[in-house]
This record gives sequence, structure tokens and C-alpha cells, in this order.
Amino acid sequence: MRKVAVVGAGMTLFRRRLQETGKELSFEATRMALDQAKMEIGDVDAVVHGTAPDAFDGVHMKGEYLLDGSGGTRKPYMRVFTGGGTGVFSAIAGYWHVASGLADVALVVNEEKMSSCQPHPQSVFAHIWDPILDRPLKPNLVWIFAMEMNRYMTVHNIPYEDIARVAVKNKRNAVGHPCAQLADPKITLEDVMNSEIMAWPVRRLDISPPSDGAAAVVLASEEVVKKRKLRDQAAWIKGVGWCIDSTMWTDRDLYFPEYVARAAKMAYRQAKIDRPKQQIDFAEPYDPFDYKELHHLEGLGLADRGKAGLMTREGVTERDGKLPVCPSGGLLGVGNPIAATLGIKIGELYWQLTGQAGKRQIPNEVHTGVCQAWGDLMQYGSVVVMGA
Amino acid sequence: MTFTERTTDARSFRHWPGNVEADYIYTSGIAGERFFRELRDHGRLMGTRCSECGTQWVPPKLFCEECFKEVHDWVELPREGTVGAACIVGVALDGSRLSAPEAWGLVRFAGFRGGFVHRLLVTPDRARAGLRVRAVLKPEGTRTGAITDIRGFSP
Repeated sequence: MRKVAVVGAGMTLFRRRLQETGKELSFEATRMALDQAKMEIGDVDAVVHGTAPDAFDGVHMKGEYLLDGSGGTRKPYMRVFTGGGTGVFSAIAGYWHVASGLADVALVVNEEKMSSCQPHPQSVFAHIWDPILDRPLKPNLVWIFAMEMNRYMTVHNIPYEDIARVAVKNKRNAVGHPCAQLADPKITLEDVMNSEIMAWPVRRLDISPPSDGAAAVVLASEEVVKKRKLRDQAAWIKGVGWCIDSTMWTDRDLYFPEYVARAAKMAYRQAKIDRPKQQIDFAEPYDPFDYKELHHLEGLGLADRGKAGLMTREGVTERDGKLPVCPSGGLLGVGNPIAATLGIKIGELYWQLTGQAGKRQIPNEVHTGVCQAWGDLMQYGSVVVMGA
Repeated sequence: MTFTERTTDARSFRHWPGNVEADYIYTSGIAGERFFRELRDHGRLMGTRCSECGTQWVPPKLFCEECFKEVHDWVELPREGTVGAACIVGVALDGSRLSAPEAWGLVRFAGFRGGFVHRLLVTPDRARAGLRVRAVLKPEGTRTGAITDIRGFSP
């Protein structure tokens, strides 16, 4: 397989509701990524679009609908969808195009416009359940997260404070992010702990709310990087992995994300990483809920099982800590327009590794980062290791 | 005739009822906002023009699908367009027979990419490609800033 680099990235503001259409948001992010890569649309051989359920934007086949704003017209174009996992998975699909030699330059564009869905995107999540076994009981998605969080806390005897600290860290980290929806320099642990209980033990500030936004990255082969003199702004994709667990959430032991562990194993093998704790300098795990950052750090092998909360309490995962986690501010701080979180996962790895993260730049030198997204029916993990 | 047989009452079979309910509020976007304001307030149909490659778009786009540059320039459409294709609809969405057939067409404008798929306000025998048509708008004051402010296109 050929070497593949990210050579440009872009993203829009993440906001609860934006006036732009999904097409306009896609264009804005894509244009930004192309400008950073010093490329025009004619330089792009193939386009991968990533976007989560059609039911959010309220347009069926929205990959096709968003095509013109994503630069895909009259090119090899595909939409990929792995729920929340799309935030990282679309870049993996873009990687295949270039690594295989089928394309020299691939554009990856992700979009989500959740504000269309009323009264709340949660209402269409009601349709992911089994229509006969579950839906007559009117389950709510937060139930799953609450039970998963409770199981995680119970198995490892983790105090709630250690989980809430993640929300505080990420909302503070996001202060340096120009696109952030949820940044708060003054947020305290008490603010999170005292916020409204949604479904115990999940409080309102443990969750990243719905958002509108788009993000894009440009992927290029080694030859293109050389020819266009992009080496100084290239971050290389070292390994990719993805995995899905059982359809039924009742069939999984909720305290450990096996799907992330397997996806990470696949990515680490390719990246020749056998001691992730020593070899990975920073991480952008998927954090739509604060406990998920901890859960995913354990799945990624960056924390011992049940110990990620302790690492957070000890400051290890702060931006200036030994293992910075979500230096972007993550979904909890920047926002959670599902697939568009590409910009704070792959995008943040890119900007950090090439020294372009501005106020968010990790003070210690970083050479290797890992990002991960989580999705589908809460049982899917996608992992990318990048280096520069 | 096997090939035209239809099941008209699926509920006569054993089933479990369900409903994928969903409700939406869309935004018309940056370009759409201006397009619909022009239509509602001034009765004008507007497009955009790419200053990079010159392509003119209707409905207006904020970006050029051809050269992928941001588009800023606004231009009014010519009064008359041309029917590029037509169809005469006899059966409604629910499968029932329409009381009278409806004419629909793809209306294009000289110098513009795109166009409108809209109702043709003519008898079905006149709905043919090549017909020159103009937009028929709802009266000022009754327009709301929607595609239905255009009643249709007529010669």
C-alpha cells in the first residue's frame, strides 16, 4: 500500500443552528481544506462524503444531496456511513482510495445539520430500536448511555467526579478553538455535577448537545506531497482500523468497548505500535459523553481498565500533561455535529502534528497521535494513527 | 394479467403497526434566503454568476459547482424560459387517478445552468419541449417566500 498524508483540513463553526444549508456548510469546509492544501477541485481524483442518518438533516440520500457542495460532481464519489463512527471512518475510506493507487488525491467531506430535526434529533433516534421488542416501550437513547456509564462506574468503582472532570477539561480546552460551540473558560466541576439529571447518572453537562457543521480533509499520495512540496504541512496516516460488535446492546458487556480495542489493534499493527502508552503522544478519542472519553482511552490501550478517570484526576490528560487527550476541546467543548467531528478528530491530529493548532498547540513536541470515533448502534469503533 | 396485480390492503395480512414520525424545520441557506426575498418582495427570479468561470446558476448557488469557487454576484433571470422536457401526470402519489391530468415541465433559461421543475399552466396537448414560458407569480402581498409563490409557468 502507498503512503498517504493529510495535507489540508477545514471546518465550519459548530453551532446549535446555522443559517447555511448543508450544501453551503460542506462547501465552506471543503474550500478551506483545498486552500490549505494549495489545490483546486480539478486536482482531486475522488471524493468521499461522510454523513450520519438521513433523518437528522431530513433529506433522504443526503450524500447525493450534498454532492455539489462537496466537490464530487462528475468524479468518483461515494458516501460512507457508520453513524457517529463516520467522523473518523470517512477518512479511512478516503485513505483506501489513495493507498490503493486508485487516486492520487482524495477529498473527504463530512456534514451534519441536526437542527432541522424537531423537536430534537433524539426524536428520530427513537427509530433505531427494534420495532417490536423495544419501540413499544418508548426507549430514549440516553438510557443506553446512562446504563453503560453506570456499568462502567460499577465494575471499576469509579466516582462520578472523575468522569465529570472530562467535561470540565474539554470545555476549557475548546476555548482556543475558533469553531467551538461549548467552550467555557470558567466551568467548574460543581457546574457539571449540579447540572440537571437527564437519565441518572448522566447529567446535562455530561452530554454534547446537537449541532450543525461540516469539516473536510485533503488526502494525498507521497508522490503528490513531493511534487507539490507539501512535506512541511503533511501528516501521515500510519494505521487504520475499524470494528463492529453485536447488533444488540444487551449482548455486550457495557463496561469495556471491545469494538474500539479491536479497531485499535488493527490500526496499531499497521502503524507498528506495540506499546501504545509509550509510543503515542496524544489522543483524540470520541467524547460525546464524558465517560466515553475514559471508556475509549481504555479501549485504545492508553489507560489500564478502570484507570482513565484517575489519569484525568491526576492531570495526565491535560493539554500540558504526559498524554494530552482531546486538546481540540473534543465534542464536549467544540460540538457534536456527528460526522463533522472529522474536524476535531482527524483535523486536530493534522493541525497538532504540523504545528498549526495555534492556541491549542500542545506545548510538548508531538510526533504520533491517535484519533477514534464511535457510532452505529453504539457498538462501532474507527481508529486512525497519524504521525509527522 | 399477473403483471398488473396489486395488493391494495396490506393490513389484511398479519402485521405489527408502526410509524417513523419525524418533523423538520429547514433553513433556506444564505443563497436561498436572498432568492426567496427577491421573489416575495420584488417578484424577481434571481440567479448567481461565478466571477471565476462565468457560469450562471439558477436556483442561485453560493458556490460554483464547476470551478468550486465562492460565488458573490447576483443576476436577474430573463423574463422568458424554455420548456426543456415535459410530462403529463395521470396518477397521484397514492396510486389514485387524477380527475384531470397535470402538465409538469423542466424550465430552463438562456445563459443559465439549472432551472426549475414546475407546473406548466397549459393544457396537456400544449406541454411540449420548446414551449416558451414565463413564471406566473401569486399576487404581491400573498407571497410568503416559497417556491409555491410561483404558481407555474405559462406561455
